[in-house]
Amino acid sequence: MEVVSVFYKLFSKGGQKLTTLLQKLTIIFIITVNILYASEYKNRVVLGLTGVVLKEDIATIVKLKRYLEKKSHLNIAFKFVKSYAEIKTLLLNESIDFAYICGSTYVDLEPSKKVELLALPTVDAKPFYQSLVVVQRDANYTSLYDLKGKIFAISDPESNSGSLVPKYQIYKKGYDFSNFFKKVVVTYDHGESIEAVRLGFVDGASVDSVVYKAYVTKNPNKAKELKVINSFGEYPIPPFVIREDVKSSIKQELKKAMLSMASDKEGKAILKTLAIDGFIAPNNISYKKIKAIKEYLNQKESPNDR
Amino acid sequence: MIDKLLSLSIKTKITFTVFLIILFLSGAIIYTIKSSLAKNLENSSVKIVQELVAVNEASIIKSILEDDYWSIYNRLKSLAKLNIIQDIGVVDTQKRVIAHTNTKEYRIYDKFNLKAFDGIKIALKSDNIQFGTCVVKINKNALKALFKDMDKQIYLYIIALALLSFAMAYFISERILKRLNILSYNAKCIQEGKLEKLQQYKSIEKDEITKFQDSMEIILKQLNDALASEQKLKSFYHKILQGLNEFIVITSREFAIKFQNDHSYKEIILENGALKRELLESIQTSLSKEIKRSVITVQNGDELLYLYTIIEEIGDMYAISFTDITKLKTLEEKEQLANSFELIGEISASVVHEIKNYLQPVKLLMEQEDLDREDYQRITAIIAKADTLVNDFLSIGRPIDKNLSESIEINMAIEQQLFLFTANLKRKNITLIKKYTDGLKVNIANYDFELIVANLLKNAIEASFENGTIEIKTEQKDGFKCFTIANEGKPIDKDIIESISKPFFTTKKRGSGLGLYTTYKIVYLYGGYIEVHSSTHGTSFSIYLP
Repeated sequence: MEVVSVFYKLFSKGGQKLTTLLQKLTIIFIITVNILYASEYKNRVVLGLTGVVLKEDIATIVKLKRYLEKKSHLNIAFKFVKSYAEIKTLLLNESIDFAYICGSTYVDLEPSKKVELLALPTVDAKPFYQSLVVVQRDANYTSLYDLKGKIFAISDPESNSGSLVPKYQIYKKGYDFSNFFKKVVVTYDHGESIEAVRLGFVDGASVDSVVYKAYVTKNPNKAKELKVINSFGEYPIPPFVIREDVKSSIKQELKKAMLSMASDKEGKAILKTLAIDGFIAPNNISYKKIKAIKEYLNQKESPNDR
Repeated sequence: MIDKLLSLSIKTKITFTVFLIILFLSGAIIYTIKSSLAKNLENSSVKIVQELVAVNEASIIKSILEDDYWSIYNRLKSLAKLNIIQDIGVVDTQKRVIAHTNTKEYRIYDKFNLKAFDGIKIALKSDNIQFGTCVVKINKNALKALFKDMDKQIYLYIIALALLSFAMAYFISERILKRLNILSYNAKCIQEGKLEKLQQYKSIEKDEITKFQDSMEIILKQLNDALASEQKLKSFYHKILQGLNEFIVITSREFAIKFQNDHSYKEIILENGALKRELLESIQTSLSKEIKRSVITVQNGDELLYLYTIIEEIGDMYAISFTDITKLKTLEEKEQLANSFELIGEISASVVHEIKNYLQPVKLLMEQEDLDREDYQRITAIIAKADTLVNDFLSIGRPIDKNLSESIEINMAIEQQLFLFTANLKRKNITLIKKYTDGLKVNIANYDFELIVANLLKNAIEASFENGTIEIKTEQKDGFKCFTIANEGKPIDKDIIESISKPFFTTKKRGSGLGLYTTYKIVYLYGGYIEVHSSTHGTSFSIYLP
């Protein structure tokens, strides 16, 4: 668009008038060379993100992008979508190259063999996290089950911590999730779910422990209005996945940049804001636990079962 | 309270009145403007909210259809960032809350009473299908907050106006007061007679006070001139009074001395700045008897001074003049004494001559050898006449004894004498006309008064025509008690009137000529006097007694 705009200005009557044709040609040449050079110089990769993960903290995400660009010499672009369902589609139709997704989404994608794990965030040196049930500090609820008949927020319907785990726990307890709450509000964002609780729009919400930790770090005063009444699991942490068919050099560059972040001052600062210790290579990680939950829920919610 | 306010100074009253008027007026005007602005702003706010909801209507309807309450809530929260919106919510077609920024009062799926809601209700419609209602409460406090800065400016403006008005009022009242003070000061100067201290003030104002001041200046000038001429007149009269031979004293009604001229008798008449006690008593006695002219005696060492005193009432003051008549009195007494010797000589010669005249025929008769009865009768008559003469003569010499004085009712005493003369009056058929004034009394010995009345009545009857009239009148006149006996008869000649008081003067065949003389003597010795008038109609004798 910028190039078009410059061209338009050059040749339109209202634009700045350059006196000689030579000057105009020189400028066109410089711009063209510049564009070609830039595309040759860097490989462009697209990072897919959902609002589920830190949409609120866009500044940190930008910092992470710039950091990775610097370290990997790649040109990284963002693609934000609302849901994991959408990001799944984008990965499968190759609109994005790599993405930060939920474990449950990975469980869905794994059979297609189109994506592979790129790196895993670690918390307390482990690639695991919890699903937390958050309510207002002054509320009398002591567990998820006290919220029966209340308004509850979930993030993405496919999110493990934000949706599947509470559903699973409620079913496990013998309740029917579909009528357990007065109303389930979908926020598509853990951060939003936390805010929905804080603002009193909902009575409780189920959120990702990593996001909650980042929220507490960033908003210590707001966090004082909240409390966690349940912490479920340890579950394998949401991974960074990359399309199988992306150049291996790019994969290596990205992995290298991510894994070395914790040993770098700048990288460390970004990780701190994201409430994670660093990234590790995805060795010896299994998402079977999540897979089991999904299967259990599928079974519970299949029309035949009802 | 009102008394206290009214007793405040003009400056305070004017200053505060103007101050309060401007303060209240400006306050009221500004309040009215503010109220009108607030109302307009509220109306505008409603329109803005309606337009805002209209802009977001499609998105909200989409979220309702998608069951995405969180998006609706976020959108409402964004709208509520506008200060004028206090709360905003969306109610579905079943009148249930699906999102509301006031999460404490309005929870998801709570029933919402749209009818009772007093805020703005905006239907959320698409293709004429209603999907819900947007309910908005306007934040009136936020509207007020918009005026907060304005309020500050308004209050500053009011204060500035009030201070300006205060200063103006102070300046105006100061100017007025300054001029009033000069007027007041000048009035005080006049009151105290300090005309030389009068202040002149040329004011730049051309208002009522200046006009009053100008008029006042003219009045003051005229007053000044009048006072100056009064002063001149005063000193003129003062000089005259100072130059008089009489000693003049002007006193209050209580005899406090207000003025006195320089006179050598000042020390004789005054004592410690007041009239001497005995003198004051004499004056008070005279005044109580309504006598305004009298001779008062004052002891000056061994000498007895005779002062002719005239008392005049001037307004609420007495002007008393003292004229020394001691020399005159001495001369008079000496003359009287000389006259008395001469008189006694004359009387004695007359009496002797008379008696000799009487005795001459007796001697001639006695020289006869045989005296008949007629001769004896003649001798007896002559001796009786001589006896009357001797008696009258003796009565001349009888001294007046004032110790026998008593208060005599004049009218009654005259009536008693008239009774004795009844036969004489009838004989000449004389008509009596009485003009009495009641209550007139004189201090006199009864015998002396009877003698006076009897002598005068006798003369009047004798001089009266047959069938004539005699008028008797009693009255208070010139501080004296006066009675007049007037008869119709031949007028008396001027020469005769001059000799009338002389002893042995008579126009009667059988009179001794001592009756009127004795009357004159008694009246004079009691401090009175006699007036005689004679005309063609008749003669009147008026006796004035103190």
